[in-house]
Formats: sequence, structure tokens, C-alpha cells
Amino acid sequence: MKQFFNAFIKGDLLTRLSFFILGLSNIFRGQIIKGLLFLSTEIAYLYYMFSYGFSAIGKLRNLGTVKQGWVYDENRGIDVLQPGDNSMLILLYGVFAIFITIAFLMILKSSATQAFELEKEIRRGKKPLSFYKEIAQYTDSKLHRTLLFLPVIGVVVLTVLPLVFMILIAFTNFDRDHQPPGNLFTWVGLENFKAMLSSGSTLGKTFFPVLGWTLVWATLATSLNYILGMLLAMLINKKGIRIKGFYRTIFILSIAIPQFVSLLVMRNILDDDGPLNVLLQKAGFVTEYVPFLTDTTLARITVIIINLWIGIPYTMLITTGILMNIPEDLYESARIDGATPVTQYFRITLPYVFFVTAPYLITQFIGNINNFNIIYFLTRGGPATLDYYQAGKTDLLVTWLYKLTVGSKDYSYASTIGILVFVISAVFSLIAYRRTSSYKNEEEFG
Amino acid sequence: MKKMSSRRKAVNAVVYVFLSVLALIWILPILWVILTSFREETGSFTPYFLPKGYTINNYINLLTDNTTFDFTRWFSNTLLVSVVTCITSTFFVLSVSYTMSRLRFRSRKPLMNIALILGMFPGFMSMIAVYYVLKAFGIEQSLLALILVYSAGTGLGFYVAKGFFDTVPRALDEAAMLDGASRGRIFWKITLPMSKPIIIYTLLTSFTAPWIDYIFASVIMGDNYENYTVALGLFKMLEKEFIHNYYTQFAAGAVIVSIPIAILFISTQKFYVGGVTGGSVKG
Amino acid sequence: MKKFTAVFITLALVILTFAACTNKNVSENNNGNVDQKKTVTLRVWGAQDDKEMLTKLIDDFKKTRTNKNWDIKISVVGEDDAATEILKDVSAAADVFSFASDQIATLKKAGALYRVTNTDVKTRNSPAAISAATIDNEIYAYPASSDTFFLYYDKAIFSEEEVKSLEKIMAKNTGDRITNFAMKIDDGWYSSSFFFTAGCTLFGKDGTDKTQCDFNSEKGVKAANYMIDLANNKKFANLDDAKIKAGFKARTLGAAVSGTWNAADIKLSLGDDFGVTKLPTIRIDSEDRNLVSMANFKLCGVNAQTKFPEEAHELANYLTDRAAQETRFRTRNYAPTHTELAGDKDTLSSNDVVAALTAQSMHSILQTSIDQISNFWTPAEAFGTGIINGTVTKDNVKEKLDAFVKAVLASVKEEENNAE
Repeated sequence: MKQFFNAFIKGDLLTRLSFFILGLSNIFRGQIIKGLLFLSTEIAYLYYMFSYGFSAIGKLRNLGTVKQGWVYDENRGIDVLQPGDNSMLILLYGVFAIFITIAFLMILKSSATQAFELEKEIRRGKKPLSFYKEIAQYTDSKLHRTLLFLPVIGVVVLTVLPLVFMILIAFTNFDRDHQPPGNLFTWVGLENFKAMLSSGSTLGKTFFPVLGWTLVWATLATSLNYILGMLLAMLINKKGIRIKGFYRTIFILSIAIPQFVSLLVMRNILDDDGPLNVLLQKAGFVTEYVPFLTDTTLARITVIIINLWIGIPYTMLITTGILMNIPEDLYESARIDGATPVTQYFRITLPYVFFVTAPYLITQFIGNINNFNIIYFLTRGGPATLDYYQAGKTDLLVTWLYKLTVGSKDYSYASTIGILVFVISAVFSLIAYRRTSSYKNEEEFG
Repeated sequence: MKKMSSRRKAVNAVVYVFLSVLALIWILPILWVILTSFREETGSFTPYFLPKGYTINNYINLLTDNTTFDFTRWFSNTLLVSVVTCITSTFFVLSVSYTMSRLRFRSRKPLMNIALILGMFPGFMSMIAVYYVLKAFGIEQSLLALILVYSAGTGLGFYVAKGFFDTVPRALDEAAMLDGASRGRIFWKITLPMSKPIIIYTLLTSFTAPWIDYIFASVIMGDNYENYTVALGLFKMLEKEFIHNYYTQFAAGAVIVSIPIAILFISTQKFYVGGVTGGSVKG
Repeated sequence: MKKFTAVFITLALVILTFAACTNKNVSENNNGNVDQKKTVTLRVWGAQDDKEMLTKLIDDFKKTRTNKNWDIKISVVGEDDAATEILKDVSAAADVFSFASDQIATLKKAGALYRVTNTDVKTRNSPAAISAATIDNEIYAYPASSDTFFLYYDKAIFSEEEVKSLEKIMAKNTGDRITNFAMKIDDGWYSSSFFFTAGCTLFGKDGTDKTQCDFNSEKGVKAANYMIDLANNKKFANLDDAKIKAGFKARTLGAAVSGTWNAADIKLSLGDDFGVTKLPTIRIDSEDRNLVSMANFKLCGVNAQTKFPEEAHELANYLTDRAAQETRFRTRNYAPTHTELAGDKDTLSSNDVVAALTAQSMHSILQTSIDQISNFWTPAEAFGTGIINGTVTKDNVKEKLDAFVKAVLASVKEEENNAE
């Protein structure tokens, strides 16, 4: 920023003019192509802003005022549509115009500082870089720009732009009663957050219990998968066990089946009248069917157990290699000290593996908070309950969010939940990463 | 000594039994899908494990009868999308991860942090906005849109590949640089050829995404049957009008989709492991 | 910072695309009318299994109207998913679409429906169908068929006499292997029957008051107690469509409640023993009353943003007129809403399934058309689940019904105001 103002204060007239007519300095100082590119960018930007951009940003203030209407046409015998404003498109195009403006300001800044640099170079008596040479820089000292260009564009257009749009939705009343194009929606400030976080409201009465279950779920799912997966890897790795590859392949097969297939099949097998219940009854273990998916507590346990089926192979796969890397002499000396296998596990194996996989564990936890597949395909959030608003007893925040968007089109509440999920994940990761890095420094491994 | 080894044998026997039981539990649901795909009697619901009769007509009908469900077309759509996606996203991932690992520039740290933050928002929270962005470009309901959606964000998942590049020794780069090679040349001629494992890993992981995604594909495709992917198509078979007659074909389709993914995954598992842990080992 | 080329190209590309998009509309209108005939492009949405029938109907439509070039495409979006797809993007939705009548309020609110000004529609269809297509005294859709549920039974197990009363069905000793009666009572579409039969109403007498639901009244408690007794009976099973079909196929099911969409499969399983009739009576309040079913309608709507409003209305009208409804009836077992056709007993009784549906229609209550109904399904499912897994008992039934009604009438909006 300092450079930018410096350029304006210290630069000559041509440099100062380049602040308003981009590329002017380049054009008159020998970098004609580059200067023209700057200039055409500005023209394109101004053209866009005057034809669409300014009005798009202006409409952001209240997201449209004209409601769609109908006028009866006697001659045609039908109503004729009088198109109104579409709040959603206004918001999207407004955000888009702001993105374009930010991009343009970045170009403006770079053009201005470059103009000043150029002025200084010439004063020093150097020849300005030719266009060809400047391009050549993009395969060398500026290679990062070349390589990052397309990926960053992709992320900005299809991830950041939609995300900003949806974050803004959380501050509007874009719900089932305000559906465009028939209705307008507008800014409501923090209303949605208030409704979501006040414990007495319809939404709050659902939000907090669902949040609680989401956290319990994420903790149990992550830790059980981790510990049991590691134990499985240790069993397969055990000395004297043959056909290790065969066992590994079998467990890995479950990863290869698309989750929507395996989970839907599980849903069928675990049904109240499903094959597993029939089997259990025939074998005489139970007299009544076991409500694997229809009783609240049992359904929650089932979800966690089925998640083991999905998750354990991953942990097994990852920890197998690490386990083989643990220096044998650590165990050797522990044995001499008379440590039992259990002590060895807790003193040597677990800390070692944990040290290497701590970041993986954190991403797993975040992933489980957002674990959509298992709930959506296995239980659909059920069993249903009278206590929640549009959610079931195994619904996580993300599946509730999904139900609110696809089911009842309450986008504003869904976005609010999304932001809150983000806050929870961010806070957790921040704390966890801090912990692991301090943990790392103290440890001797690695 | 002898005593020890007989005890060990006993322990190992227990471990064998235990592992075999576990293996059975893991294989059963898969077996169930395969059995269902060969089941003669229709219906989505059977209270028994083993089919009463076997047939391969489910596969034949699935692949030849395209009046209601054009599985072959959906299959080729998915294949096309996943081939293009895996090429573009591999390019994206490699570019970003190489940049973040090897090149030093001012915005490197901030960009990496932004990538972390973006990853923490629930993915499909913004899918309706993604749809409208694609619509603004006039490509909604097209395969191109699917390719863009599957590959655009992949640049964010650079951590695994970055971990790999971190482990590739820098000595070669430095030598080449002394010889006057540009950074771009080093990337193409030296680093990429050495990165075969991570390239294969990235290619394969991005290849599978279009086969298993249902949510985004359904929002983007809407009513455009012709551009459906297999996941969408298989889901259609489970709707209430069809599930009774098409459930066995659904299973057949699931098996067909799973086979290539299974082969790919099993043959590349070691890269997966290296990818996930490689970066963190280095720290 | 010189992110120069990068940002420039993006800007240029993006601006060009946006400019191109906005220009497209202009050029479309300029498609010069060199050809005297007007070219009409329309898209129609219907269920996959109706596609064949729709294709035939539309071919006939084109044949009889040669004054225009018709380009009509059928895409598959079933009645149940219509609202979800339409609300995602009204401008991308079909010009003419089929949808279930409970979605009409939501669709109207989003401005997706074109008002029907053809007065013929009102005169030719039954009042119930018209009321399902009406919001604020204006008609917004063309009724195509009526729909409700009724009773399928195995004639080898029950006689025609026995299936008239649920008590008789349940009382019969059919042996260990056979379930006498099945119904999905954790689904509000079916379970509301018991409440309606007991005299309760959902959203007031005419089903439009979103603050009214008396399922927790004394009558409601009686209905719920009946459901609890039924669920505790070993000869009853709470089965969904797939299991009902599997049950009839295995011949382990005596009678079950379902709709026309399962007719073909069940007929195939039972063959000559296929029986179908109206719902049985239940003994409630020491009086035998016929079970009252929730009825809804399949409607045909015209997209508010269609480029060809006259033609879209013409097509929607054609797809739901008497001839089309007769085609629907003959090929797809759909019960007509056209008063003449519905009154044609000879034609209707030729199809036992539609005859059963029509008989049940005498004892049906129109599903409400207000969008508060979207709050009904989840609590109804929860209440049904509670009865099945025993958490709703005769001791706490009143309390549970209170919670049920509260959830049905819940409004996020009001709570929001209270919170302020």
C-alpha cells in the first residue's frame, strides 16, 4: 500500500496520470503492448461497470424493490407477466461486481507501482524490459503466477464466489416465504443467528441438541476408528501371521465400493424386518426384532459402528507403514524393563503413531463433523422425533442444513448453520494445531 | 524357548480366527451386493441372504435395454467426465503443490492459510450458488459444468502432493539452476518426471470422484437425463416407481462401477499411504 | 504486485461471458419470422412411467394443430420432485409440469405458477379437484387425476365380507406365518386416517388455517389409542411399499393399505387371488366408521416464465381434458377428475383398482393446500415411530399428541419475533 501512495506522491506527471489512465506510463516509455493491455483492461472494466456493474452494486442495498406482477390481457385471454426483481440474482451479480472491482483495484495498484518503477528505471538510464522478456519471466522468477493462475481462478469463481454469496444469505430472510422470483428477500442483519442461538426458539431447540450429537459423533467416530484401525493394523502386522496381503486387500475392498451403495445396502440389512433381524430371531438370540435404525440410542450406536466398517480400513492402511517404521529397539528395551504389551502399546506405539498422524487426525475430526454420506444414506437422519424442527435424532448439523435447503428451501437458516459449523471447525483446528506443534517440539521422535 | 513358541502359536491361532471373522464381516455387505446383482427374483426387500434363483439378466438388461434407463450412456458420460476431470485436476493439484513446496513468494503463506479456511466450510452449503454461477456462464446442465465443478476446487487439496514434493531432494534443482535452466523448465523436465507416484495417486483419486458424487451432480443436471452420471442414474432406479423392478439392476450397476474403482484403489494403495503420511513425517 | 496478465485475462473473459449472456435474450426475440408458421418450443415434465403415455398424447396434440411448428420435449421429473426442481430455478423449469397438489402453495408463493383463465376447467372438473388447484379463489393448475389409498388383499386369505371391517381382518386366525394387515403408520399420509376417522381436522375445517390442528383433542386420543392397540397386535405389521410387495409375493400378507402405483406388481404376485377394495371400517367411539383417507390430486401447471403462454396453456389443457384423462385411466390406472368421466360408472368399474379408489374417494378428505403441510410429515413420522417402538403408550399419549400438534403448528417466524 505504501508503495502505491509513494508512487503517486513522488512520481512525475506521466506516472500520476497512469493512476487514472492505466498503462499510460508504459505506452510512452517503450512498453507499448503491456501498456495497451493495461489500458484495455481499464476500458473493459469501465464498460462493464457502467453497463451493469454500478447498478448491480447499487441494488445490493435492498436486494430489489419491484415485485413480480401480473396484468390481465383482454385480447389474449391470459395474464401477462410483469417481471420483477430477483433478489437472488441481484445478490449474486452484486457480489460478482464487487469481485471484479477488487480484481481491478489489484491491477490498478500493480499498474501504478509499475509505472513508478519504470519511471525510476528510465531515470537511472536503463532500458525498459521488452514484452517478450517480461513474458519469459513467467516461466522463471514468476513461475508461481503461471502455475497458480488457473487453479486460483477455479477456486475463486466456483468456491469463493459461491461461498461469499451463501455467507451473505445468512444475513437475509431468504426462506420458504421469500422465494424468488415470486417474492423478494432482503437484509435482516443478525436475526437468523439470534433465532438459531436463542435456546428457547424453534430453531434453537433443534440446533443445540443436534450440535451436541454432532460433537459426540465426531469425537467417538474419529477416536474409535483411529484406535481400532491401529489395533487391526497391529494384528495383521503381528509376527508369524501370514497372508498379510490377503487380509489387507479384503479390508481395503470396502473402501473401493462407492459409499452410497454400501450404506444403502447396510440400511437394507439392518432394517427391522431385514435379513440380520430375521437371522437373529431364527438363531434364537432375540425374540423381538432389534430396532437398529429406529430406536434413538441404538440408531446412534449403529451409525458409529457402521462408520467403523467404513473408517477402520483407512486407518489400517495409513498406520501399517508407520508401525513398521517404529524402531524395534524401543520395544526391546521396554521388554527388558518388564513392560507388558499393554504398557508398550500406550508408552511406545500410540505416542509414535499419534505423533506422525496428528494432522490426519485433525482433518478426520473436521471431516466427521461434516460427514454427510453416512447419515444421509444410512438413516436419513432418523428416527424422527417430535422434539426437533425438520431434523431426526441422528441428523448432524450438515444433514440438517441439507434438509433445510433441499427440503424446505430455508436457505437463510441453512447458511447460518453452515457458518456456525465453520466457526466450530475453525476454533477446534486452531486449538488442535497449536497443541500438536507444541507437542511436536517436546517430542524426540521424527 | 519351546514353551514360548507354542504359546505364540496359540496366540497366533486366536489372531487368525479373529481376523477371519472380521474379514467376513467386512466382505459380507459386498457379497450381498454381488449376490443381489445376480438375483433372479425382483424386489428391493428380501428377508433372506441367499437369492432363490440366479441369473445374469440383470447385467444384460442393464447394458442393453435403454428405454427407461440409459446406463451405457450414463456410463460413458461418467467416463468422459472423470477422464477430463482427472487430467485437469491433476494439473491443478501438481501446479499448486509444486508452487507451495518449491517456490517462495510473498503471498505463499496467506494463500495456504486461505486454502485451509476454505476447506472448513461445509462443501454443499453453496451448491445452489454454484449452480447459478454456472448458469451465468451458460453451461448449466452440461458435462462441461460437471468437469469444472469437480476440478475447479481441487487446487485446494494440495497438501498431500505438497508433502510429496517436500521429500524430493532439492539438490537436482539447484544443479540445474546453476546450469541456467529456468524454473519452469525444472518443473517440467526434472521434478515432474521424478513425481510419478504422486501423479498416479492424484490422477486416480480425482478419477473416482465423478463416479461416487450424487449431491452436486443432481443439483447441476436437474432434468437433463442425457447428461446424467452413473451415480445419478443408479439413484433414479431407487425411486418408488422403479425400486421393485430395478433393484437387482441397481446392484448390477453398482458392481460394474465398483470393479474399476476397486482395482485402481488396490493397485495404488501404497501411494495413498505415502500421500497422507508423507507430509506430516517431514513436518 | 503485478498480477497483471492473470487478472486481465480473467476480467476480459468474465466480462465477455456476462455480456454475451445478457445479449442472448435480445437476439432470441429477433428470430425473424421468415417462415409464416410460428415455431413453438415447449418442455413438459412428467414421471418416468408416464413418459410413454405423455409421448402419445403429445403426438396427437401436434397432429391436430398443424398451424404451428411444435417442438415439444418431454423430460422426466416426477410429481413428487417437481417443486424441488422448479424452486431451484423457475426459469429453467419446464413450461408445463405435473405436480402433486400439496406443493401448490409453495409453488404459487415462489411465483412459479401461471393463473388459469380458461373457465372450462372449473366446469368440467369435480369441485374437490378444483379446490385443490385453487388459491385465494383463483385456479392455478389443471387437475389431471385424483389419488388416494385403499386396501389390497389376498382373496385366498380373506373373503369380500371380511375385508369390510378392520376388526374382522384382525380377528381372523390365519396361522403363524401370515400377517393379517399391514399399513405404514409412521407416515402421515396414511396415519392421518385414524385421526380423520375419529373426527379430527388438520388446519381447520377447510384445511386452510395454519394455526389449527386438533389431533390432541379427546377424539385424537381415541384415534391414537386405536393405533397403539393395532401396533401391539402381532397380526399387524408396519410395512412400507417394498415390504408390502414382498409380503404379497411371498403370500405371507393378508391385506395392506397402498395406492395405485403398486397395483401392477401386486396383481402379478397374487394372480387370481388379487383383491382390491375401499378401506375397511374401524370401531371407534363404539361405532363402525369407514377409514377416511387423505386424498390428493395430480395437477398440471404452467410455468409463470414460459415464453409461449398461450400454447403452454393450450397444451396443459389438452393433457388434462376428458380424452386425455380417459387415456390416463386406461393406460395408467389414474382416477379421473373430469365429472362426466368420473360419473361414468360402467367405464370405471371395468378397472377394479380405479373402482376401489373411487369408492374410497367417498370417504376421503382433501389434503390441505397450504404450505404449513410441510411441517406435518416429520412430526407424523416421529409419532408413528413412537407408537411402533413403544415410546408412545396409552399412559403418555396425550402428552405426545400435544408435542405432535405443537410441532405441526410450529413456525420459525413467530419464534423469531418472540426472541427479539
